[in-house]
Amino acid sequence: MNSPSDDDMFSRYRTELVMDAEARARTFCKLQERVLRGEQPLPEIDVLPPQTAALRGLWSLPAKWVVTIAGLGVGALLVANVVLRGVPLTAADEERVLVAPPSAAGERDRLPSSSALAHEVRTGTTPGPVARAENGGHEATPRAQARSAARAPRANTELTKRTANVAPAPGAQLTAAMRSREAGSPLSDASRAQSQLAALARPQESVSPAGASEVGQQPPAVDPASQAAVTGAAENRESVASSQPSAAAANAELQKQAYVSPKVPQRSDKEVASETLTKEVQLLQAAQLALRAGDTQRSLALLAEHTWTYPQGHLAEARDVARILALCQAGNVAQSKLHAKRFLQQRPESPYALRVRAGCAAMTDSSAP
Amino acid sequence: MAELAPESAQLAELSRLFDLHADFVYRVLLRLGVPRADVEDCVQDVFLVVAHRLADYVEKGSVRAWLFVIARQVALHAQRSNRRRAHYHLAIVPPVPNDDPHRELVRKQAIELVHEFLAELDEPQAQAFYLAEVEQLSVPEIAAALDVKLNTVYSRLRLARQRLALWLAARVQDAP
Repeated sequence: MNSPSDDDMFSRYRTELVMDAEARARTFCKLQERVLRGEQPLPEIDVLPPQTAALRGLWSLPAKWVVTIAGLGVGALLVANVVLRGVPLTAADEERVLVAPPSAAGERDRLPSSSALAHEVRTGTTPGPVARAENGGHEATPRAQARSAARAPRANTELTKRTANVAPAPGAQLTAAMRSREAGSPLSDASRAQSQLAALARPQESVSPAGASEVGQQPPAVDPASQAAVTGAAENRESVASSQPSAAAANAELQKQAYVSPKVPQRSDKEVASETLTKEVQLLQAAQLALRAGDTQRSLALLAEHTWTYPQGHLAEARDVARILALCQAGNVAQSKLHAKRFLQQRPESPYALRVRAGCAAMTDSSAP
Repeated sequence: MAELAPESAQLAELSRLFDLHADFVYRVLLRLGVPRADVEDCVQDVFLVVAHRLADYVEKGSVRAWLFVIARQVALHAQRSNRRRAHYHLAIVPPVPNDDPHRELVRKQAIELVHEFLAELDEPQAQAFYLAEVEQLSVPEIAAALDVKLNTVYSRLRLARQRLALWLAARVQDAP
């Protein structure tokens, strides 16, 4: 056999192996008949043309399922987010809350002692937190206590992260309490507030020694009178500490009852108010210390935290004044002036009015060489 | 035909495609193992699908790649039904040979030579090589027809051509 060249070989194959004319004509005739008869091809041989197949491939079965499942998942997440958490706070909302001081000054139940306490906080001659707490607790009106009791947990829920550095445990417990509330627990509002407060109470007690140490670390430039106040406070704290075990037991009892019946025995108003006040004082004190140490950013952050946690707190006035001064010190004169103006509009008769006018003006004078 | 506008247009298009590609389909069906007795019916089946899907067809993709895929499905289906009616095929006689015995011999040799070489290759290589060398499809067309990557086709063709060179060299040595 002669040696075949490959080109020759394949072209010959191509030309040789064809349908002969007769078979071709026969086949096409039959095909035409079948087409005209409207015969459909069998489904298993019905292959789509390439272009159409590519287009339909985009919406193939896996792609369809992936898109559908992803869409449903995103939708469910959005719905869950809105239902469980409400509309999320935007950055603008946060800014507004942080900057704007609580405006409902007329509604505030001012305590006779609150401005005096705030004055002490501002000047730095602070007695121990517990002493002040008891003092405030005695003089607080029941209405104010009820309001602060109802307010504190709600404000806390938005601030669990912020409060974490001061009192981490209550924040965590509040988050848990908040979740149970979101999950639609059948408890009434009052009992929820109570159970959350009960949860708050125990960590609060564990925090108070930290507050004490903070008091103990006050700068040395404290006059002897405040030193005496500090030692007095320490004695007071000891007496309170001895009553803590019984209080903890009562709290445990309260917490148990909160899940049993919607009617929960009231914690004494005095306790609730004293706790709130103690926390407020600690917060403000920390802010003052930071300010004096020159850390204006931390001070402002702590004050903002106070604004969030206790928008209408007993020491709201003192906090606003502290913020004005902190802003002055931070060099943010415009903001400080704005706050000062608003403060003076809202509380023209405030004992701080003079201080606010003079203090910020003095600061601005000193800051402008 | 002209008065039946849509149908006649469809049939004209079908006729054009049939004229161009009937032999290709015929060879592919034979290559895919369809018995000679069934090839004509299978060619009809293939072009029935074409007629059915003519409206969907856009003259962009390769017709021959599409035809190859249909032919493969048809061959598969024919094999399944052949197994069911194997006894029926025993009665069918092979096609009548050509009148000229020498012409018939040359034809037979040419076909068998290619079949002999293709039998040397692995089936995937043989398919790619057959479509490229015999049917002269482009590599993208082959990739579409076999549903493999372009580089896979290139690799299979390269290996098959190496084998061809060896095979031809062996035949040249054997011949003298």
